[in-house]
Amino acid sequence: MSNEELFKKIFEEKFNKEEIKKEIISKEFVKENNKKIKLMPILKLALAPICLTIIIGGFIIFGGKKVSKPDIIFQENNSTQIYVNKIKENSLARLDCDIKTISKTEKLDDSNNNNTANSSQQFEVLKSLKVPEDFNNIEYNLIYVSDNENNKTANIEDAREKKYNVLNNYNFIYYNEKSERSINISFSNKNEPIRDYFFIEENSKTSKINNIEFKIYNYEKTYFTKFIYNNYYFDIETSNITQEELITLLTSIIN
Amino acid sequence: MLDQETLKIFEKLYEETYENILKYVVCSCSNIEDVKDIVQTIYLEVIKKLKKDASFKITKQYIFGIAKNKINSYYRFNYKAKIVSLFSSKNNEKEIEIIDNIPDEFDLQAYLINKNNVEIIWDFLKKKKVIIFKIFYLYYYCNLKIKDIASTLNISEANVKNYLYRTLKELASFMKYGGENNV
Repeated sequence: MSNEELFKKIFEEKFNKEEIKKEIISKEFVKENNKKIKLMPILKLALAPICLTIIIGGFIIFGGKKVSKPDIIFQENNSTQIYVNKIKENSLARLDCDIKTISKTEKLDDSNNNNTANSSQQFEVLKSLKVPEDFNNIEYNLIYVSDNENNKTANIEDAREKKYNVLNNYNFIYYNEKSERSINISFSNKNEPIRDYFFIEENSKTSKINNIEFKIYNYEKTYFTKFIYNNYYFDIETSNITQEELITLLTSIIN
Repeated sequence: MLDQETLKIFEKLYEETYENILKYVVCSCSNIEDVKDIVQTIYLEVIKKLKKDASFKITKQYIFGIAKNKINSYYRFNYKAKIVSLFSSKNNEKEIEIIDNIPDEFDLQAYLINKNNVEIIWDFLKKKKVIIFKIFYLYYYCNLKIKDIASTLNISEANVKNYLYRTLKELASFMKYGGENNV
Protein backbone atom coordinates (compact mmCIF):
# COMPACT_ATOMS: atom_id res chain seq x y z
CA MET A 1 0.00 0.00 0.00
CA SER A 2 1.41 3.40 -0.97
CA ASN A 3 1.55 6.31 1.45
CA GLU A 4 -1.26 7.93 -0.51
CA GLU A 5 -3.50 4.92 -0.08
CA LEU A 6 -2.55 4.44 3.55
CA PHE A 7 -3.24 8.02 4.66
CA LYS A 8 -6.38 8.20 2.57
CA LYS A 9 -7.60 5.07 4.32
CA ILE A 10 -6.77 6.52 7.73
CA PHE A 11 -8.64 9.77 7.12
CA GLU A 12 -11.58 7.95 5.55
CA GLU A 13 -11.80 5.73 8.57
CA LYS A 14 -11.41 8.43 11.16
CA PHE A 15 -13.73 10.94 9.48
CA ASN A 16 -16.12 8.33 8.19
CA LYS A 17 -18.94 10.11 6.42
CA GLU A 18 -21.58 7.47 7.04
CA GLU A 19 -20.64 6.98 10.70
CA ILE A 20 -20.76 10.70 11.35
CA LYS A 21 -24.15 10.92 9.64
CA LYS A 22 -25.50 8.11 11.79
CA GLU A 23 -24.26 9.85 14.91
CA ILE A 24 -25.92 13.11 13.86
CA ILE A 25 -29.26 11.38 13.28
CA SER A 26 -28.99 9.48 16.54
CA LYS A 27 -28.18 12.68 18.44
CA GLU A 28 -31.19 14.32 16.85
CA PHE A 29 -33.28 11.34 17.92
CA VAL A 30 -32.05 11.54 21.53
CA LYS A 31 -32.67 15.30 21.51
CA GLU A 32 -36.22 14.82 20.27
CA ASN A 33 -36.84 12.08 22.75
CA ASN A 34 -35.75 14.31 25.60
CA LYS A 35 -37.72 17.23 24.26
CA LYS A 36 -40.86 15.14 24.13
CA ILE A 37 -40.60 14.57 27.84
CA LYS A 38 -39.39 18.00 28.75
CA LEU A 39 -41.93 20.02 26.82
CA MET A 40 -45.07 18.54 28.25
CA PRO A 41 -47.88 21.11 28.56
CA ILE A 42 -47.23 22.14 32.13
CA LEU A 43 -43.62 22.82 31.34
CA LYS A 44 -44.41 24.93 28.30
CA LEU A 45 -45.94 27.47 30.66
CA ALA A 46 -42.67 27.60 32.49
CA LEU A 47 -40.45 27.96 29.43
CA ALA A 48 -39.09 31.39 30.30
CA PRO A 49 -37.76 30.40 33.73
CA ILE A 50 -36.31 27.19 32.21
CA CYS A 51 -34.20 29.18 29.75
CA LEU A 52 -32.71 31.03 32.64
CA THR A 53 -32.14 27.97 34.77
CA ILE A 54 -30.12 26.26 32.03
CA ILE A 55 -27.57 28.94 32.67
CA ILE A 56 -27.78 29.43 36.39
CA GLY A 57 -29.10 26.03 37.35
CA GLY A 58 -30.93 24.92 40.43
CA PHE A 59 -34.58 25.81 39.82
CA ILE A 60 -37.15 23.18 40.57
CA ILE A 61 -40.55 23.14 38.93
CA PHE A 62 -43.23 20.84 40.24
CA GLY A 63 -45.87 19.15 38.18
CA GLY A 64 -49.21 17.67 39.12
CA LYS A 65 -49.85 14.01 39.84
CA LYS A 66 -51.76 11.62 37.61
CA VAL A 67 -50.65 8.04 38.07
CA SER A 68 -53.22 5.44 37.20
CA LYS A 69 -53.68 2.29 39.27
CA PRO A 70 -50.73 0.06 38.42
CA ASP A 71 -51.04 -3.53 37.19
CA ILE A 72 -48.61 -6.22 38.09
CA ILE A 73 -46.72 -7.27 34.96
CA PHE A 74 -44.35 -9.84 36.38
CA GLN A 75 -44.18 -11.97 39.51
CA GLU A 76 -41.67 -14.71 40.13
CA ASN A 77 -42.06 -15.05 43.88
CA ASN A 78 -42.63 -12.78 46.86
CA SER A 79 -39.23 -11.21 46.48
CA THR A 80 -39.70 -10.34 42.79
CA GLN A 81 -42.79 -8.43 41.72
CA ILE A 82 -42.91 -5.81 39.03
CA TYR A 83 -45.54 -3.11 38.68
CA VAL A 84 -45.66 -0.40 36.08
CA ASN A 85 -47.11 2.94 37.15
CA LYS A 86 -48.65 4.45 34.05
CA ILE A 87 -48.52 8.19 33.89
CA LYS A 88 -51.61 9.68 32.34
CA GLU A 89 -50.72 13.33 32.04
CA ASN A 90 -48.56 16.09 33.38
CA SER A 91 -47.04 14.23 36.28
CA LEU A 92 -43.50 15.06 35.32
CA ALA A 93 -41.60 17.68 37.16
CA ARG A 94 -38.37 19.16 36.06
CA LEU A 95 -35.10 20.05 37.64
CA ASP A 96 -32.70 21.98 35.47
CA CYS A 97 -29.13 21.07 36.06
CA ASP A 98 -25.90 22.79 35.33
CA ILE A 99 -23.75 20.01 33.90
CA LYS A 100 -21.12 19.22 31.33
CA THR A 101 -21.18 16.00 29.30
CA ILE A 102 -18.19 14.31 27.71
CA SER A 103 -19.36 11.76 25.14
CA LYS A 104 -17.95 8.90 23.11
CA THR A 105 -19.76 6.57 20.75
CA GLU A 106 -18.76 3.09 19.73
CA LYS A 107 -20.06 0.07 17.94
CA LEU A 108 -20.76 -3.05 19.99
CA ASP A 109 -18.69 -6.04 19.05
CA ASP A 110 -20.66 -8.41 16.80
CA SER A 111 -19.00 -11.38 18.43
CA ASN A 112 -20.60 -10.42 21.70
CA ASN A 113 -23.59 -12.70 21.48
CA ASN A 114 -25.46 -11.70 24.57
CA ASN A 115 -25.06 -8.00 23.80
CA THR A 116 -23.18 -7.20 26.94
CA ALA A 117 -21.53 -3.85 26.30
CA ASN A 118 -17.74 -3.91 25.98
CA SER A 119 -17.32 -0.48 27.43
CA SER A 120 -19.53 -1.26 30.34
CA GLN A 121 -17.56 -4.37 31.25
CA GLN A 122 -15.05 -2.23 33.01
CA PHE A 123 -17.78 -1.54 35.51
CA GLU A 124 -18.27 -4.61 37.62
CA VAL A 125 -21.78 -3.50 38.45
CA LEU A 126 -22.86 -3.85 34.80
CA LYS A 127 -21.06 -7.09 34.10
CA SER A 128 -24.28 -9.06 33.50
CA LEU A 129 -26.18 -6.35 31.72
CA LYS A 130 -28.51 -7.61 29.00
CA VAL A 131 -29.88 -5.27 26.38
CA PRO A 132 -32.01 -6.28 23.36
CA GLU A 133 -30.16 -8.03 20.55
CA ASP A 134 -30.68 -5.25 18.03
CA PHE A 135 -28.99 -2.65 20.24
CA ASN A 136 -25.76 -2.42 18.29
CA ASN A 137 -24.57 1.00 19.38
CA ILE A 138 -23.46 2.54 22.60
CA GLU A 139 -22.77 6.10 23.59
CA TYR A 140 -21.11 6.63 26.94
CA ASN A 141 -20.96 9.88 28.78
CA LEU A 142 -19.29 11.29 31.82
CA ILE A 143 -21.50 13.78 33.60
CA TYR A 144 -19.63 16.52 35.38
CA VAL A 145 -21.02 19.15 37.69
CA SER A 146 -19.27 22.19 39.00
CA ASP A 147 -17.95 22.45 42.48
CA ASN A 148 -20.56 24.87 43.83
CA GLU A 149 -18.40 26.26 46.58
CA ASN A 150 -15.68 27.33 44.20
CA ASN A 151 -17.91 28.33 41.33
CA LYS A 152 -20.47 30.64 42.79
CA THR A 153 -21.47 32.98 40.04
CA ALA A 154 -23.78 35.89 39.57
CA ASN A 155 -24.10 36.40 35.85
CA ILE A 156 -24.02 34.67 32.47
CA GLU A 157 -20.47 35.61 31.58
CA ASP A 158 -19.20 34.19 34.86
CA ALA A 159 -21.30 31.06 34.35
CA ARG A 160 -19.43 30.30 31.14
CA GLU A 161 -16.17 30.43 33.07
CA LYS A 162 -17.35 27.75 35.46
CA LYS A 163 -15.21 24.69 35.91
CA TYR A 164 -16.97 21.36 35.74
CA ASN A 165 -14.58 19.45 37.89
CA VAL A 166 -16.72 16.97 39.83
CA LEU A 167 -17.63 13.69 38.16
CA ASN A 168 -21.22 13.10 39.18
CA ASN A 169 -22.09 9.91 37.34
CA TYR A 170 -21.56 7.68 34.33
CA ASN A 171 -24.13 7.37 31.59
CA PHE A 172 -24.49 4.64 28.95
CA ILE A 173 -26.97 4.89 26.09
CA TYR A 174 -27.60 1.73 24.08
CA TYR A 175 -29.61 2.04 20.89
CA ASN A 176 -30.49 0.19 17.73
CA GLU A 177 -29.26 0.96 14.22
CA LYS A 178 -32.14 3.28 13.39
CA SER A 179 -31.91 4.98 16.78
CA GLU A 180 -35.60 4.38 17.33
CA ARG A 181 -35.17 2.22 20.46
CA SER A 182 -32.87 3.06 23.32
CA ILE A 183 -31.89 2.32 26.90
CA ASN A 184 -30.28 5.06 28.92
CA ILE A 185 -28.50 3.93 32.11
CA SER A 186 -26.96 6.41 34.52
CA PHE A 187 -25.13 5.22 37.60
CA SER A 188 -22.65 6.14 40.26
CA ASN A 189 -21.44 4.73 43.54
CA LYS A 190 -21.07 8.21 44.98
CA ASN A 191 -23.92 10.37 43.80
CA GLU A 192 -27.45 9.98 42.64
CA PRO A 193 -27.35 10.42 38.84
CA ILE A 194 -28.59 13.74 37.61
CA ARG A 195 -31.90 13.61 35.86
CA ASP A 196 -33.73 16.69 34.71
CA TYR A 197 -37.22 15.57 35.67
CA PHE A 198 -38.89 13.56 38.38
CA PHE A 199 -42.30 12.36 39.45
CA ILE A 200 -44.74 13.10 42.15
CA GLU A 201 -45.01 9.70 43.72
CA GLU A 202 -48.49 9.53 45.21
CA ASN A 203 -50.55 6.47 44.23
CA SER A 204 -47.56 4.75 42.72
CA LYS A 205 -46.77 1.15 43.55
CA THR A 206 -43.38 -0.26 44.47
CA SER A 207 -41.79 -3.07 42.49
CA LYS A 208 -39.06 -5.36 43.77
CA ILE A 209 -36.48 -7.73 42.40
CA ASN A 210 -34.75 -9.93 44.95
CA ASN A 211 -36.23 -7.59 47.55
CA ILE A 212 -34.54 -4.53 46.06
CA GLU A 213 -37.35 -2.00 45.95
CA PHE A 214 -37.94 0.59 43.25
CA LYS A 215 -40.72 2.22 41.25
CA ILE A 216 -41.26 1.99 37.51
CA TYR A 217 -43.11 4.67 35.62
CA ASN A 218 -44.37 4.49 32.07
CA TYR A 219 -45.29 7.38 29.84
CA GLU A 220 -46.24 6.54 26.26
CA LYS A 221 -43.28 4.45 24.98
CA THR A 222 -40.92 5.37 27.78
CA TYR A 223 -40.17 3.56 31.03
CA PHE A 224 -38.34 5.25 33.88
CA THR A 225 -36.96 3.86 37.10
CA LYS A 226 -34.29 4.44 39.69
CA PHE A 227 -32.94 2.32 42.52
CA ILE A 228 -29.90 1.57 44.65
CA TYR A 229 -28.17 -1.76 44.17
CA ASN A 230 -24.76 -2.95 45.40
CA ASN A 231 -24.09 0.54 46.71
CA TYR A 232 -24.63 2.04 43.26
CA TYR A 233 -27.28 4.57 42.41
CA PHE A 234 -29.02 3.66 39.14
CA ASP A 235 -31.31 5.75 37.00
CA ILE A 236 -32.77 4.11 33.89
CA GLU A 237 -34.87 5.47 31.09
CA THR A 238 -35.91 3.38 28.10
CA SER A 239 -37.58 4.25 24.86
CA ASN A 240 -39.65 1.95 22.69
CA ILE A 241 -38.72 -1.32 24.39
CA THR A 242 -41.18 -4.01 25.45
CA GLN A 243 -42.12 -4.89 29.03
CA GLU A 244 -40.30 -8.20 28.59
CA GLU A 245 -37.14 -6.41 27.50
CA LEU A 246 -37.48 -4.10 30.46
CA ILE A 247 -37.77 -7.03 32.86
CA THR A 248 -34.75 -8.75 31.26
CA LEU A 249 -32.77 -5.54 31.61
CA LEU A 250 -33.67 -4.97 35.26
CA THR A 251 -33.14 -8.58 36.31
CA SER A 252 -29.76 -8.59 34.58
CA ILE A 253 -28.64 -5.67 36.74
CA ILE A 254 -30.28 -6.75 39.98
CA ASN A 255 -29.30 -10.40 40.15
CA MET B 1 -40.31 15.16 14.56
CA LEU B 2 -37.68 14.25 11.99
CA ASP B 3 -39.98 12.94 9.24
CA GLN B 4 -38.91 11.01 6.18
CA GLU B 5 -39.11 14.04 3.90
CA THR B 6 -36.87 16.14 6.17
CA LEU B 7 -34.48 13.24 6.54
CA LYS B 8 -34.27 12.89 2.77
CA ILE B 9 -33.51 16.58 2.27
CA PHE B 10 -30.93 16.43 5.06
CA GLU B 11 -29.22 13.38 3.56
CA LYS B 12 -29.02 15.09 0.17
CA LEU B 13 -27.53 18.25 1.67
CA TYR B 14 -25.13 16.17 3.76
CA GLU B 15 -24.03 14.22 0.72
CA GLU B 16 -23.43 17.40 -1.28
CA THR B 17 -21.59 19.35 1.38
CA TYR B 18 -19.86 16.91 3.77
CA GLU B 19 -16.40 16.88 2.16
CA ASN B 20 -16.21 20.66 1.88
CA ILE B 21 -17.54 21.23 5.38
CA LEU B 22 -15.11 18.68 6.79
CA LYS B 23 -12.26 20.40 4.99
CA TYR B 24 -13.38 23.77 6.29
CA VAL B 25 -13.61 22.48 9.87
CA VAL B 26 -10.26 20.68 9.75
CA CYS B 27 -8.57 23.80 8.39
CA SER B 28 -10.24 26.09 10.93
CA CYS B 29 -10.05 24.08 14.12
CA SER B 30 -7.30 24.34 16.65
CA ASN B 31 -7.69 20.81 18.00
CA ILE B 32 -8.20 17.78 15.76
CA GLU B 33 -10.17 16.03 18.49
CA ASP B 34 -12.91 18.63 18.04
CA VAL B 35 -13.49 18.04 14.33
CA LYS B 36 -16.21 15.40 14.59
CA ASP B 37 -18.05 17.28 17.30
CA ILE B 38 -18.08 20.50 15.32
CA VAL B 39 -19.20 18.79 12.09
CA GLN B 40 -22.05 17.14 13.99
CA THR B 41 -23.09 20.41 15.59
CA ILE B 42 -23.20 22.08 12.18
CA TYR B 43 -25.47 19.43 10.68
CA LEU B 44 -27.68 19.31 13.76
CA GLU B 45 -28.27 23.00 13.16
CA VAL B 46 -29.17 22.22 9.54
CA ILE B 47 -31.75 19.67 10.75
CA LYS B 48 -33.11 22.21 13.21
CA LYS B 49 -33.57 24.73 10.41
CA LEU B 50 -35.19 22.13 8.15
CA LYS B 51 -37.62 21.14 10.89
CA LYS B 52 -38.52 24.72 11.65
CA ASP B 53 -39.23 25.76 8.10
CA ALA B 54 -39.47 23.01 5.51
CA SER B 55 -39.92 25.51 2.72
CA PHE B 56 -36.67 27.32 3.49
CA LYS B 57 -34.12 26.66 0.76
CA ILE B 58 -30.87 25.68 2.44
CA THR B 59 -27.94 26.38 0.19
CA LYS B 60 -24.30 25.33 0.49
CA GLN B 61 -23.44 28.92 1.36
CA TYR B 62 -25.98 28.83 4.17
CA ILE B 63 -24.37 25.69 5.61
CA PHE B 64 -20.96 27.36 5.42
CA GLY B 65 -22.45 30.29 7.32
CA ILE B 66 -23.61 27.89 10.03
CA ALA B 67 -20.14 26.29 10.03
CA LYS B 68 -18.43 29.61 10.55
CA ASN B 69 -20.70 30.51 13.45
CA LYS B 70 -20.45 27.09 15.04
CA ILE B 71 -16.66 27.06 14.93
CA ASN B 72 -16.53 30.46 16.55
CA SER B 73 -19.03 29.63 19.26
CA TYR B 74 -17.49 26.20 19.85
CA TYR B 75 -14.19 27.72 20.78
CA ARG B 76 -15.74 30.65 22.57
CA PHE B 77 -17.77 28.46 24.90
CA ASN B 78 -15.73 25.29 25.13
CA TYR B 79 -12.24 26.63 25.40
CA LYS B 80 -12.67 30.31 26.02
CA ALA B 81 -9.95 30.76 23.46
CA LYS B 82 -10.26 32.95 20.46
CA ILE B 83 -10.00 31.08 17.18
CA VAL B 84 -7.10 32.12 15.01
CA SER B 85 -8.05 31.96 11.39
CA LEU B 86 -5.51 30.24 9.23
CA PHE B 87 -6.91 31.97 6.20
CA SER B 88 -6.30 35.53 7.16
CA SER B 89 -3.12 35.79 9.15
CA LYS B 90 0.36 36.06 7.82
CA ASN B 91 1.73 35.59 11.31
CA ASN B 92 1.60 31.83 11.02
CA GLU B 93 4.86 31.87 9.13
CA LYS B 94 6.68 33.15 12.17
CA GLU B 95 5.72 30.13 14.23
CA ILE B 96 7.12 27.68 11.74
CA GLU B 97 10.65 26.64 12.16
CA ILE B 98 12.39 25.49 9.00
CA ILE B 99 14.81 22.73 9.82
CA ASP B 100 15.48 20.98 6.56
CA ASN B 101 16.11 22.50 3.22
CA ILE B 102 13.99 20.28 1.07
CA PRO B 103 14.74 20.26 -2.65
CA ASP B 104 11.79 20.85 -5.00
CA GLU B 105 12.03 17.37 -6.43
CA PHE B 106 11.95 15.60 -3.06
CA ASP B 107 10.45 12.14 -3.07
CA LEU B 108 7.75 11.49 -0.49
CA GLN B 109 7.74 7.80 -1.34
CA ALA B 110 11.32 7.58 -0.08
CA TYR B 111 9.82 7.09 3.35
CA LEU B 112 7.24 4.48 2.71
CA ILE B 113 5.12 3.66 5.73
CA ASN B 114 4.77 0.00 5.14
CA LYS B 115 3.08 -0.96 8.37
CA ASN B 116 -0.59 -0.70 7.89
CA ASN B 117 -1.65 0.26 11.39
CA VAL B 118 -4.29 2.94 11.34
CA GLU B 119 -4.49 3.53 15.07
CA ILE B 120 -0.75 3.97 15.60
CA ILE B 121 -0.34 6.36 12.68
CA TRP B 122 -3.45 8.27 13.68
CA ASP B 123 -2.15 8.71 17.23
CA PHE B 124 1.23 9.75 15.87
CA LEU B 125 -0.34 12.42 13.66
CA LYS B 126 -2.64 13.69 16.40
CA LYS B 127 0.32 14.29 18.68
CA LYS B 128 1.99 16.47 16.08
CA LYS B 129 1.34 20.19 15.66
CA VAL B 130 -2.14 20.75 14.31
CA ILE B 131 -0.68 22.37 11.18
CA ILE B 132 1.05 19.07 10.32
CA PHE B 133 -2.20 17.18 10.66
CA LYS B 134 -3.87 19.69 8.37
CA ILE B 135 -1.13 19.38 5.77
CA PHE B 136 -1.39 15.58 5.75
CA TYR B 137 -5.17 15.76 5.50
CA LEU B 138 -5.09 18.24 2.62
CA TYR B 139 -2.31 16.44 0.79
CA TYR B 140 -3.41 12.84 1.11
CA TYR B 141 -7.17 13.07 1.62
CA CYS B 142 -8.11 16.15 -0.39
CA ASN B 143 -5.40 15.56 -3.00
CA LEU B 144 -4.37 19.19 -2.92
CA LYS B 145 -1.08 20.22 -4.46
CA ILE B 146 1.60 21.67 -2.23
CA LYS B 147 1.04 25.09 -3.76
CA ASP B 148 -2.68 24.93 -2.92
CA ILE B 149 -2.04 23.70 0.60
CA ALA B 150 0.33 26.60 1.15
CA SER B 151 -2.29 29.00 -0.07
CA THR B 152 -5.10 27.39 1.97
CA LEU B 153 -3.11 27.38 5.20
CA ASN B 154 -1.43 30.67 4.45
CA ILE B 155 2.11 29.34 4.85
CA SER B 156 4.94 29.03 2.36
CA GLU B 157 5.32 26.07 0.01
CA ALA B 158 8.74 25.40 1.55
CA ASN B 159 7.13 24.94 4.93
CA VAL B 160 4.49 22.59 3.58
CA LYS B 161 7.23 20.47 2.01
CA ASN B 162 9.29 20.63 5.17
CA TYR B 163 6.49 19.44 7.37
CA LEU B 164 5.50 16.66 4.98
CA TYR B 165 9.03 15.42 4.47
CA ARG B 166 10.13 15.70 8.06
CA THR B 167 7.01 14.07 9.50
CA LEU B 168 7.09 11.19 7.01
CA LYS B 169 10.75 10.59 7.82
CA GLU B 170 9.98 10.63 11.53
CA LEU B 171 6.96 8.38 11.11
CA ALA B 172 8.90 5.89 8.99
CA SER B 173 11.59 5.73 11.63
CA PHE B 174 9.01 5.49 14.43
CA MET B 175 7.26 2.58 12.71
CA LYS B 176 10.53 0.86 11.89
CA TYR B 177 11.95 1.07 15.38
CA GLY B 178 9.16 -0.24 17.48
CA GLY B 179 6.39 2.30 16.95
CA GLU B 180 3.84 -0.37 17.54
CA ASN B 181 5.45 -1.45 20.78
CA ASN B 182 5.61 2.08 22.05
CA VAL B 183 1.94 2.76 21.66
